[in-house]
Amino acid sequence: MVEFSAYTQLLVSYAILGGVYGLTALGLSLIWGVMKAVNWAHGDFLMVGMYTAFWTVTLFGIDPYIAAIVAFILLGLLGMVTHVIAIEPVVEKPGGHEATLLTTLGISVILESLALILWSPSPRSFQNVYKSTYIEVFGIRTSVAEAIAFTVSIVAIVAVDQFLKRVRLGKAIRAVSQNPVGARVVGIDVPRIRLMTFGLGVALAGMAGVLVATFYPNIRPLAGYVWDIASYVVVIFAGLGTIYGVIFAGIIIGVTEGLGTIVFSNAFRQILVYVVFLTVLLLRPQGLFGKALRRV
Amino acid sequence: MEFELTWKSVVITILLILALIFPLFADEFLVSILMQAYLWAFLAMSWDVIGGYGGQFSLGHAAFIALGAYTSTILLENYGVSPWIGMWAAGLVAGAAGALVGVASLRLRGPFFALGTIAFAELVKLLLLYFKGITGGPLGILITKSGPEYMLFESQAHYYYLMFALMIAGLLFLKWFETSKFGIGLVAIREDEEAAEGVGINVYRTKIIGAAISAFLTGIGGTIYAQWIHFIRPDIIVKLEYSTQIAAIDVVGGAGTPYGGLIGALILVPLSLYLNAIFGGMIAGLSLILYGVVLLVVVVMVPGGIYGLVRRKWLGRKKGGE
Repeated sequence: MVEFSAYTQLLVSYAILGGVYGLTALGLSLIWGVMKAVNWAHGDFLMVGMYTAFWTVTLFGIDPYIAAIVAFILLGLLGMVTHVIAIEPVVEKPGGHEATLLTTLGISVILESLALILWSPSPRSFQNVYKSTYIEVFGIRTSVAEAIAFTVSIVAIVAVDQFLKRVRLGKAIRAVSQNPVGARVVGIDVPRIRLMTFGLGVALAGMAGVLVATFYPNIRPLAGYVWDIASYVVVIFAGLGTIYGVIFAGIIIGVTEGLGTIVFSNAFRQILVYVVFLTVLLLRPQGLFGKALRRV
Repeated sequence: MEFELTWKSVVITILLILALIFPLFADEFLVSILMQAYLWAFLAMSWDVIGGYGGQFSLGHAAFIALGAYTSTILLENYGVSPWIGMWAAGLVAGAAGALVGVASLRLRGPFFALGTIAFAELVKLLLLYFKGITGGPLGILITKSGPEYMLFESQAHYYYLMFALMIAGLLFLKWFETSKFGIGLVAIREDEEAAEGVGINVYRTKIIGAAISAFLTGIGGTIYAQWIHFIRPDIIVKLEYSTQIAAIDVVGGAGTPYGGLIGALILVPLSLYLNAIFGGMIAGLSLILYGVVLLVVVVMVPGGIYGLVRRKWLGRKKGGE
């Protein structure tokens, strides 16, 4: 019985982590859905979000969840700048989708190196009450920080979905995603929509970074990498361009990791995730929740 | 025309002689830089077969370097097989894995394929870490043999000539490949898969063989890389940076051309190594920033790569590739 509850505990922890995977993947999914661009620097934006949390909390002593708002705005702006430099010039050219992969790779390298120069490779973390306070539900313990991260992830995903359905800008984003030519014909400023979408996607990554930083002990320049891979796994698993799919896929990936740890070993955990990922990719390239894939 | 041919061959001859006598007057550091540029040029040319000519944007080629390096190193350390022979086995193992990636390319397009190959490389890395009994796990394998019969040399100059020969072989292969029936078929598939199928090209077979050839060559490169560093470990050999660097070199130089890999490597490799040597101790990361900037600028400003630009601007010919 002790073992059983330990397993449940582990699975819940991984499910919570999976929820945050879902949020990190949301921005990628949006960017992909609207402009078929691959944002390879996504994990690095997340890393910048982590540092934003670190600096706002340690310098000004304010609440980390206010830092999430700061990161949202800051990263949104950074995202727009990135879009102007790296995405807009290539995205409509032939072979543009692969080109975005390379240009964002350039951005990724630049961000990581800047972070190394500015903040050194040594990991940092900051103390906050949310990390050290625990809540217990049905005998399962989790830190408040993780519980909030999970909740905010779900709320953010619902909010983005509602934004896309109800707000004028959101509707325009959907229009561009479904039919860029048609959207242009009815007078939508497609490049502007792309700019806003990229900004929003990166802003979400920044927010996810803050949430991760509240419970993740390692804030370091190369921290984005792990989350990068995880977000891509989630995005493909969910089906690129789906909104609610990412949260389910995130949780599934999280639980798979948990199961891998229990049934095999910690070392085998990631192997299992990649095997599942590649299998889904090959058997169902449109993802578990995606509609039939349009040829790229 | 005759004049141009003569002019061209004179330039090539001078360049060849300069390259061959280079280690005689340059210091070890410069020799080492150019040597690494040749190695990366060969890897980029290998990538070009499927990435440039085939249009399948692989970001998992580090996996083939690793499979090649591990195959020949295990053969060498456990069975005493010289890498001069082991590299062919390395190529075959990597080539077989490449065929699998080729099968995947039939279902996955564009960025999906790229992401799939990233996952494939990560999986290879994790498996190399997991099967400790064969691969040494996270500790890796140290190459203990020495001597030219084991492709292990005393000086960088010897490696320089080895890499130079490798690069020339890659160049000659690509020059032959792009005019071969198979190569033309692969380019036709890149341009329009349905049309290629229509004129009787076997898309299925061509893609798989193309990926296998690319991986075969990369595997051989992996063996030679391992012999040069004398030491292999999953985290230093299956790096995503390697996969992306190979692709970046080729794209910057000009993908889908025989010279793209060489031009890209001659620009990017010395740039990153030299900057690293200057700033590495002081500001780790500064060299990489410039690397990122060059990559960004070339991809945005110079589609078709530097070779494409040279061809358009100075030789006045139409741009190939794309």
